[in-house]
Amino acid sequence: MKLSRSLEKMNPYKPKKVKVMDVRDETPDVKFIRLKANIKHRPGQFLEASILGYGEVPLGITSLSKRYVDLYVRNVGTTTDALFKLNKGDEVFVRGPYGNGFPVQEMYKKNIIIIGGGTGVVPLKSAIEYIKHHKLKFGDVNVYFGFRDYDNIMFKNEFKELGKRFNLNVTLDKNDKRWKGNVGLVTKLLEKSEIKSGAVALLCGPPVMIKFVIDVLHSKGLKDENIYVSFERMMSCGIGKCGHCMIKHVYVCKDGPVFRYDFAKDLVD
Amino acid sequence: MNYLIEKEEFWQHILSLKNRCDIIAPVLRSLINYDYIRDNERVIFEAPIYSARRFFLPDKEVLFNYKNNRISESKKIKKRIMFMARTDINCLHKVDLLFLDKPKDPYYQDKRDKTIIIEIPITPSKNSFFSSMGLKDYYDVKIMDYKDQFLVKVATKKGMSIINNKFKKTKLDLEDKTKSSKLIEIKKFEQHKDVYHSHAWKKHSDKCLSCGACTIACTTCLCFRIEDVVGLPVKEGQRRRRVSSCQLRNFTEVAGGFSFREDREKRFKHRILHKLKYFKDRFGEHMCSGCGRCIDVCPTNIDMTKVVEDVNKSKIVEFLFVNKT
Repeated sequence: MKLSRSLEKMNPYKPKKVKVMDVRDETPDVKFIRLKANIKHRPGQFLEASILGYGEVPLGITSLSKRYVDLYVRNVGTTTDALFKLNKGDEVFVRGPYGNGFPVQEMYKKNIIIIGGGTGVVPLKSAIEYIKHHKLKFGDVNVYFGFRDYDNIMFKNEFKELGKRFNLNVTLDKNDKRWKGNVGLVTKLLEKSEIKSGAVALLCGPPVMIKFVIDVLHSKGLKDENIYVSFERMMSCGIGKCGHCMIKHVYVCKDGPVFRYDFAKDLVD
Repeated sequence: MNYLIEKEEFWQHILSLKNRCDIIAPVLRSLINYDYIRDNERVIFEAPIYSARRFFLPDKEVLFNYKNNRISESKKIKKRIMFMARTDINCLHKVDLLFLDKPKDPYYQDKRDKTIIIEIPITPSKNSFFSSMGLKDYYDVKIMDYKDQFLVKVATKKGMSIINNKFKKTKLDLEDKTKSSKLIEIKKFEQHKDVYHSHAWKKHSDKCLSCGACTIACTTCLCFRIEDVVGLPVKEGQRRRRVSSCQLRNFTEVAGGFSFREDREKRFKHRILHKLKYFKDRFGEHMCSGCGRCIDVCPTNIDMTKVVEDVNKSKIVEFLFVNKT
């Protein structure tokens, strides 16, 4: 592709062609895709991935490497369906990284609580990767993941390894005979846990879950300035121009998607 | 630099530039609208029904072409001279604040760079309220009526490039006394302590059909959707953007079908608050110049000036639900 680098830099709508390094099934409707791409990025940022002729979708980057980019794709529409058919060696177009990411450097020495529901766990994964690589810079890390049912559990293969470094708590909304762990909403799990003072919480998930989780965190003494939420909205352009992700004067793709809760609590329509 | 020139001489000079660049102005088609001027046609000094937005953000714009997984640039446009109303020029400046904010939109920038803007006097719409909106000078050239002549005011180098050196310089200057048909108490609206929760919105949003006519007519309504279009040989196609509207029900729909602004009243509020509050919170000035087109085109006669008036009159709403803590 003969596009001069400077043109690429000047046109934020023009994507870069990259190759698929690896594809793996994660759940019946989620696939893991690793792309060979040198994209410097921060935890919590996202890419706009596309297949020409189908469209673009925003996908959270879960890895932290300079050489490749890990994405999780849920099959929900035309474009994600096309991404689902990718094999190793295929070409995909990406542009980004977009978004502000989690301000992990501001959380050094603190105890971290990570709470994710459903596909909300994907943006949090990159924060987990960062903390994993810089473990000594952080205090205790407690992770709470809630999934709808057994088939929708994400990162199943990594639970053992994650459990070694962090206090990992997983719960399912619906029980299953294959599951030997907690059953019930993630808020219930959180209520039973002890939260040390001076903790910072990172949240991502459906709006209803966020609301109830924050109520529990408040009851445990956590203040809004120490809670960070990664918002979900339709991110079409990713650069704060198309208007789809706007809430009041804020562009979720550009000013977010991570917001501190003392600011985010007023970000409602 | 100001010039005084016979009106007919001015038109002849402008039309002589037609081979070098496109000329766009309010002209009579089935209605008065901004369009490419034809030979021997004259500009109409009345408010065009639609804005000049499509010349800067086309309804459908190709971002790039592709063939066999290779991307190629789309064509760049020709230079043009645009005769525009003062409200529309101010709107363009507001669009600059968003589209030329980092990262710059190269398609918009190209069109902006290639346009020379001539401000013309027009008979304002009966729904206009620009006198309340603090309009400023953003033209390259401005023409004003002075008896049988035009007073031609040149403000920029770009403007100078279309001036004939035979034009007579003058020290004369005129004040623009054009007033809008209506006024709006915008300061009071800005200072309202809880503009979002006022009960006054419902009376107006109940009339709204979510047809989106207001967003089609407005110069600063720029929300767009990016989509890929496949050609006949399937390996060829385009990625383009299509102007969208926040008034559409699925505008905030995410994968999985959940819509954040499902409620029509929320969408109605969002548009007006974006124009008269949120944009100013972000960029320092309102996103509305008071041209009145949204009121002109609304099929149920919703009037933004009346919405603001009613919201201003409403008292602060006290919340009645109990806080958990």
